[in-house]
Amino acid sequence: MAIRFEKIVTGRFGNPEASTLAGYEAAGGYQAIRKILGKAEPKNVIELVKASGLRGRGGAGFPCGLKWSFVPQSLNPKYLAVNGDEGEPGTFKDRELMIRDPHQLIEGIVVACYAVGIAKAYVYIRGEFDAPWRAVERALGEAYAKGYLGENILGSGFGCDVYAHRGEGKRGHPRLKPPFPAVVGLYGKPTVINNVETLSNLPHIVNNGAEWFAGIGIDEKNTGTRMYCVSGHAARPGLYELPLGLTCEELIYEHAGGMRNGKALKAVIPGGASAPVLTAQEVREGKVRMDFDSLAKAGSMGGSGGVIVMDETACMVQAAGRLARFFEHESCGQCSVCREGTGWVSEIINRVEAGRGRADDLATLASIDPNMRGNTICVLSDACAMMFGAFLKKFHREFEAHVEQGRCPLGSPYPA
Amino acid sequence: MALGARFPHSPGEERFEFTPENRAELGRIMAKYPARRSALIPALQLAQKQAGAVTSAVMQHLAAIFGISPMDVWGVVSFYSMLKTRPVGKHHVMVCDNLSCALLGAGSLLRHLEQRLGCRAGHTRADGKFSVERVECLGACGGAPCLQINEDYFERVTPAMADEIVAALEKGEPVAPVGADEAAPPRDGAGAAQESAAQESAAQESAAQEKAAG
Ligand SMILES: Cc1cc2nc3c(=O)[nH]c(=O)nc-3n(C[C@H](O)[C@H](O)[C@H](O)COP(=O)(O)O)c2cc1C
Ligand code: SF4
Ligand code: FES
Repeated sequence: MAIRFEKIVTGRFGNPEASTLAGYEAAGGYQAIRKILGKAEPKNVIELVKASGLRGRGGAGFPCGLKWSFVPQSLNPKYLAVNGDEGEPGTFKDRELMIRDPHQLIEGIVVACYAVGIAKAYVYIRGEFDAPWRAVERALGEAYAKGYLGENILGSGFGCDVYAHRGEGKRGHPRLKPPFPAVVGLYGKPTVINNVETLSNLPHIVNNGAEWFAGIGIDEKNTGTRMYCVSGHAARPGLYELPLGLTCEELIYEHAGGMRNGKALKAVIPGGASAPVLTAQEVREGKVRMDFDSLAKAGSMGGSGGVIVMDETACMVQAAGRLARFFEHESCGQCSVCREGTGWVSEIINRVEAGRGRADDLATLASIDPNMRGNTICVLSDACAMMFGAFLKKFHREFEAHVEQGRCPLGSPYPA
Repeated sequence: MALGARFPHSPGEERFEFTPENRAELGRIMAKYPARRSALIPALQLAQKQAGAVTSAVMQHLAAIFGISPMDVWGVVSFYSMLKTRPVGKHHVMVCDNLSCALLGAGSLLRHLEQRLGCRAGHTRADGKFSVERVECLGACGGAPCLQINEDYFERVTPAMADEIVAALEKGEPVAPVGADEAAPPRDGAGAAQESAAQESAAQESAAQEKAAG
């Protein structure tokens, strides 16, 4: 099959004016809401998004239109929580979307609110993100001033408010599901949670149609593009918006410039820190494609789109140790298996890397793994287990060599 | 998560109150949310900026404003690593050492900065001008290795670049952020191609530095 190359959400990135309202309008912005507000039935907008095949770009890849249809129509108020947390290591796309094209996101938010019947949306932006916060705040001000937000948008009778947000003012504690956020979410009300990139696609789907969107990508379940965030040892790390279904090798060698200094590829993490690592051999021999379903079939996941590329000089124990420390840091501590598990995993892997591994450390790691899966409030614990489980299984010899030799056989290439 | 961290009691401490401007700003923020409490984190950020740290006096003041207990406020403060109970330096240098940055020399960059600043990670220099902290992924991995200094991001930082930034800050000169700012070229395929030459030399430089450092 032929894959159609077309940029969607980053199409205006080269245009520095696009971040302003005038620039966005001049580049065709705010046409999607003109097309549907007060003209299309909201439920037909949901059908349109379903037909486009758009799946969530935040991590789970859940079909967007289907998620919207779970929200009970009769319960009000309802909220849209826009996920701009960008917390998954290896991911750096939402920050750029917010800085470079904030009106595209705002227009996408209005489309989502109209479709689901939502009057208030909150854009959650992580505390470290100052430039994105300022860009979104400024764009919100412009959109309000021009009547694209607030009451009775464009005289359609439909109105919604959008705010930048830094959380509910509580500790970041995931809540037990069910009830699902579609019914009991933000402030206890029915809530749609969507990622920044997911929402940024919506104006384009409205403008160009579901068929157009579905025509980009590899099959009807993997449609459109992804913003692949390439980092690590690729020659040209950066953001590449490419159709779903390109192979991993094409992404690295044809788009990201191949490997730095001509070194050999050793491993790739294809979807952010939680996505199980793939070996170079798996990538090459399996001709692994970078769409949701192909990556799942290869035993990993598309996750957040963070593609971490590692060459032959990288130590896999060190890589796993770094990621383990992240999970330990992020664990909110509510579930004991996660709180204790992430701590132990990080301690043991980093001890093995430092050459202080004990004979039974690898067996201990293997025994912690299953306990961390399927037993907790959220899937952070599972994500940690998936991460180190894959490293341990696929690079077992490297772990063993660390323990046997009492040092890193690769010379700890990236000392802390 | 700061497990076991204690509420920072500091008996002789001065009282804290928002400046009128900050109080007004907080009022505007509170009005945006169906629950006032959603303004708590922005309020803590404002207070931290004003007082240099989230002290127990700050927490008591905010508890009174929000009608919650100081321990509730502390629960939030101890959760978010961006909120500091002790003052950080005038220039707080955060070095990411998560995987993507580590692969491209974050470790040697951190050591270099610690030496240059005479200040170890997790500490504030005696003159209060600089502090250094190692942090988790800043969400800018395509520009690894990267730093955040106060609010600004700096990407593809070489030791030489770090020296220049520090020298400027020491002289009190403004330093423009480097990376995904509105003014910077985008790092998509096209942007990356233009940058690749500069980057290659940067990579070689940091590799050479790394070798020199042993
Ligand atoms: C531990 C954990 C961390 C997550 N981090 C993010 C994140 O930083 N950004 C994001 O958009 N989604 C993140 N997600 C996924 C969200 O829970 C949610 O599925 C997503 O924002 C929904 O939007 P989407 O369907 O448009 O992808 C995370 C999930 C888990 C379990
Ligand atoms: S799995 Fe971990 S992060 Fe998730 S709720 Fe439990 S303790 Fe918190
Ligand atoms: S790993 Fe350093 S910014 Fe992501």
